[in-house]
Amino acid sequence: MRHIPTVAWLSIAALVCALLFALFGGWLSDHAATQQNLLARMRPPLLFGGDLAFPLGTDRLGRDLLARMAEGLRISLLIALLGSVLGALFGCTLGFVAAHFRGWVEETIMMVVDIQASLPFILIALTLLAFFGNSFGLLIFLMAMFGWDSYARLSRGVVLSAKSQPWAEAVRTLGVRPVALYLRHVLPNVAGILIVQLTLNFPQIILLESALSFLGLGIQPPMTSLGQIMGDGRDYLSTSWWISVLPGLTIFLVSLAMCVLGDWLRDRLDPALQRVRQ
Amino acid sequence: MARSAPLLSVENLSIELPGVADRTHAVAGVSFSVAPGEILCIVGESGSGKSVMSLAIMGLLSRGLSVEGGKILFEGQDLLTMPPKARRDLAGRRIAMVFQEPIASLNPFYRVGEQVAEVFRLHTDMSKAEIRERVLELFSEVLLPEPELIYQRYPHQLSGGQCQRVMIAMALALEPAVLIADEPTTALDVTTQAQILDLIRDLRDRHGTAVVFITHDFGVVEEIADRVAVMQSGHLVEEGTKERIMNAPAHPYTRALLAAVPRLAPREVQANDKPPFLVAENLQKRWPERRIPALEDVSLSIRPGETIGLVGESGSGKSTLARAIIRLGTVDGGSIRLNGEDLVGKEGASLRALRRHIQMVFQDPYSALDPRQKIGSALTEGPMACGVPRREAEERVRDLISAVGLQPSALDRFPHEFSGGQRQRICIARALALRPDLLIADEALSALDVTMQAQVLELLGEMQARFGFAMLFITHDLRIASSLCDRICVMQRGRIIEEAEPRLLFAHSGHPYTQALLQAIPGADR
Repeated sequence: MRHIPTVAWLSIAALVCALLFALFGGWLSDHAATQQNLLARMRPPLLFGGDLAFPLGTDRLGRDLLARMAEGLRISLLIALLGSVLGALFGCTLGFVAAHFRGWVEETIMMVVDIQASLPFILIALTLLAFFGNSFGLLIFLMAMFGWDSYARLSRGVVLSAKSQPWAEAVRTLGVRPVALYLRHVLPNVAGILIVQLTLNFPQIILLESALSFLGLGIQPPMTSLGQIMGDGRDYLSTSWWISVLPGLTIFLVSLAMCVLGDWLRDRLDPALQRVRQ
Repeated sequence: MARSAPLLSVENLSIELPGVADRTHAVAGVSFSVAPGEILCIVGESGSGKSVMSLAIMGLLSRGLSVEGGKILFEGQDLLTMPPKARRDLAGRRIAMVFQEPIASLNPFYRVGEQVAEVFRLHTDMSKAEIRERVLELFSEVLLPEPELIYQRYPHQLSGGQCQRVMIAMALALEPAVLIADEPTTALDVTTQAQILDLIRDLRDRHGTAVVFITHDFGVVEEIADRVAVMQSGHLVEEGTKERIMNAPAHPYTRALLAAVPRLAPREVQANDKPPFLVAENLQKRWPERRIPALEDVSLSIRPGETIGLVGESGSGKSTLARAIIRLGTVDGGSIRLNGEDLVGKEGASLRALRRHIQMVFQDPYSALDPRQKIGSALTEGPMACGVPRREAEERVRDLISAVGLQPSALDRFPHEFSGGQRQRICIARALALRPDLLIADEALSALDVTMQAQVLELLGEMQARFGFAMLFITHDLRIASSLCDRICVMQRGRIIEEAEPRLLFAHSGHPYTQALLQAIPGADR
């Protein structure tokens, strides 16, 4: 086992904790995420004057923040995961197609990539959500649309350079079909780079979803997400800060851990950087 | 020639390797010396420690390598105990170095004239006009054509040979007492190599520079050396005058190296009156931005079982022709018929169906295998892609892997676990697994050491005898071509200018270019 630096360990630990909390955090609470209790509105968290019944406090409807945060984190992670995986699949497919066909196919795809990259995405998302009303499906679609262009651009580049390697030419002269060449040879060789892109894209999607939900255009009640809980607490920031700050902190920590992990992975998997280190 | 007092002497030098390496020392207890006006050739295979030693003399050892003991004396002063600043100054002015890759050693963003001028700006207080004058003088001394024009050029606008001349001009700028040349001609063509060797000899004669010339090619040694030192895995195994080493080598390793040097020995041509199975006619190809065509009216026919050599300088169109035949490249015009079917214009499935007839062994064994694929799967992939059942393909591959001299356990390993020579064997096995009619070897030996070259050459011969494929052998080394080929085609500027049996070609070649190539073979006069 090669040496893993402390920050990488810390971020892996943070992400595992976040995942466990998202999956099983609800069990820590006696209340359901949607259960209202108007007698226990805006209770502060433990250590800030609260009690064990609501360790992270309650919101304006007296819902238990611990249960809501677990639920919200689960939804946020789910959306980010689905969004980045779908975006990666879509972008990489287009990138591979562009690199294979070259010519006008490549030019068209790269043109679309450039257009996508120059659009103010959050405005497009707001418009689409406003027009079509929001649904979970549309939200996932938007998340997938966010960032596919970077996968397309990246995968086109790495595939082009892998394709011109002598080993790829050798495989071609063996009579192997192009699809097999890409899936069996090129993909394993460029997967590291794409995975790193995934880890860097993931936190951005969490942030985008949070922003949309904060604005009230993302996840709709009774479902919840971290951004939505934050948005919920917007009006009570001066009196009940914990409603916004706790989910905000969670978003921050998860995104940071993911970024640090991606950074470390890039150093690990990038052969050029590896050579420098040796 | 009586030797004068040594100018540079290395005494008992040891350089440690970091723990993970396969031996403890890159250089172990090496001593040698070089006198003014003397050319010392240090010979050895890759990994023998010769480059590390030259870097140690220049004070350019990379981190992780450290000198464990010994002395490097220059004019009596030990470079290793000098203060760093004094040493840098000395290394820049009195000891100069020329590297293997001339183009990589020049900064692509500056004009070459200015790069040489910088040496003067750093080390002298000459005026701008004087510096320019001096650089132009140097350029004409290293025989660059039109120095004024070359001064204004960027590295990518020059040929490899011209870049190496610029590097030599730069190294000579401050009239160093010692010139260290680390394989300065390995990346160059034979004809360019001959010119650079001439130049170095000539400079030595005129300036009395001491030269340490590192090479792995005994042909080059024959041309240039006064004395020879042979290195093997960090140890200096033998040292002596050129005549002594070449004629009466004492150490078995030196004898092995000398025996592996390819000889100019035209082989007996076997009668072959079978009809050709591959006929290329009037191939044309132009690169958009170049004046000289890549292929101009090239016609070539290959009979079953025969070996054709394709020789010529780099850029003469050899590789373009090979890539066109194997359909990795395209042509602008002409036809390539394989058993009557035209390959040009075939695409997709119909092209894949014809692929198995022609296979190729690439130049660089290190990049020719998918780094993430096990050898076994790499070898069975070809046969299975053209419809051979898995069981039969695996059987074929097991048979082949021992035929090329590797253990069956190799099939379960990854490419990085093998040496260059072993990888080239694997590449040959991969190509032969398809039972091709034609094997193209594109400079397949040039990345290997001489002893490896000889082994792989022998292997190719054995395999050809066993499977009976025809071979198109691309090389810039006429010695290898002569010993292997039934016919040699000489290419220049995209044309085949001469095509003949080796014996006839060498005995009375009609073409001046072929004669120039023959002249340029290092050690040809022997």
